[in-house]
Amino acid sequence: MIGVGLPAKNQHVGEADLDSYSMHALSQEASARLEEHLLICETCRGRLVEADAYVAAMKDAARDFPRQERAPDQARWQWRWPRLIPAFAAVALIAIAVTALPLTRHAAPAPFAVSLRTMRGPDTPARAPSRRPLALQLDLTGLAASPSYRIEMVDRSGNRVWQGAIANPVSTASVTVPPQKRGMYFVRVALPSGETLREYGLEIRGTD
Amino acid sequence: MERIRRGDSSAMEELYKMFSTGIRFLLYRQLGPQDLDDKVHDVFVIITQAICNGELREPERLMGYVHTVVRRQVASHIDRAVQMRRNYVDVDFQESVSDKRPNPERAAIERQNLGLAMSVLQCIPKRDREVLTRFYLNEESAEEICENMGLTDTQFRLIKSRAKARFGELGRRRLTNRTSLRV
Repeated sequence: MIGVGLPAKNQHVGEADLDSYSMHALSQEASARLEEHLLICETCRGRLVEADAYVAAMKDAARDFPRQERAPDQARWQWRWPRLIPAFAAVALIAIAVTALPLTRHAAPAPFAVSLRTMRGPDTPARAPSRRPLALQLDLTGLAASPSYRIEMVDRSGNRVWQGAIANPVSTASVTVPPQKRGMYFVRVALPSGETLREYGLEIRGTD
Repeated sequence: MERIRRGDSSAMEELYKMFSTGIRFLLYRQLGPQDLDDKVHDVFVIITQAICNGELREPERLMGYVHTVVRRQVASHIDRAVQMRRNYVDVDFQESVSDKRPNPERAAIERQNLGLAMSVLQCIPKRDREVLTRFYLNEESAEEICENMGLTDTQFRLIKSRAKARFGELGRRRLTNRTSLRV
């Protein structure tokens, strides 16, 4: 037997961590520890497969549920229609009155500034919250001179989630990226020809 | 590890037996089924080379090293895939596109799971439904949900675990009904 320190048989991954890992919401360090455990624990691998199926099903069901919930009520509303005419008229009058007044509009969330200086590697990547636009500040010092750079953001599977360009760059530049889901991303700076010059790690989490 | 360094093939077999399923699982999860055997083999080649040339000596570092090699393989494959995609676009090359839809059996399982999840959402209180929607669909964190809905961490965990238990129970019940019908 190879001399490896194995975890005790009764120590398995918690349900909450499995769900979070399935949803790409675990930190990089916690994900690494969990994946090391998965290398040798068949039980937790099976539980993770179940967690994946459950998370996917709940996500789809939650997305579809409001549409289904409204459907059974339609018949009831039709039956009560004659009674509701005065109520609808009142609502219409209120709506006209309200829209005639100046309203305070909900401002879109301000972009969250993120300074990207870390290359992909063992160093801790930059962090940002999910569901907010991101103002990425890129350190361009030392890069090959070019009239413009291509900026590309990919997820951990290499799928491109956003791309843009910087014209007339100086030592730093800023680009605004739409809100992204939680997970690990890489922001690449490339020449117009496509040659990648630099890459930054960016971890998007659920809270600021 | 000493036995592997001495070229003991039974030790290499033990190493393979211990880690092959786990490595295959992680690689499949990140990269899919294509060339999976080759990728697993590549990982083992790297690990055994590291042991044989003395780069990896301490047994307690083995697990972390295996994990690091797997992660590097994943990153390397993704980099190659991105470069290939870029090159195909540049030379206007017709790349083959794999059908990423699930196979019919998997699609049927997913439909069934969706039905079970829908049943769970239908029979729980509206507040619980909102918690699950915020967590699974909107991907809000537990802390955000608890703060916005005035829940304790325990209440949040209880709502989640009850829904999951209900999902499992409905699934088992459906399986039992099908088995009874066959009999």
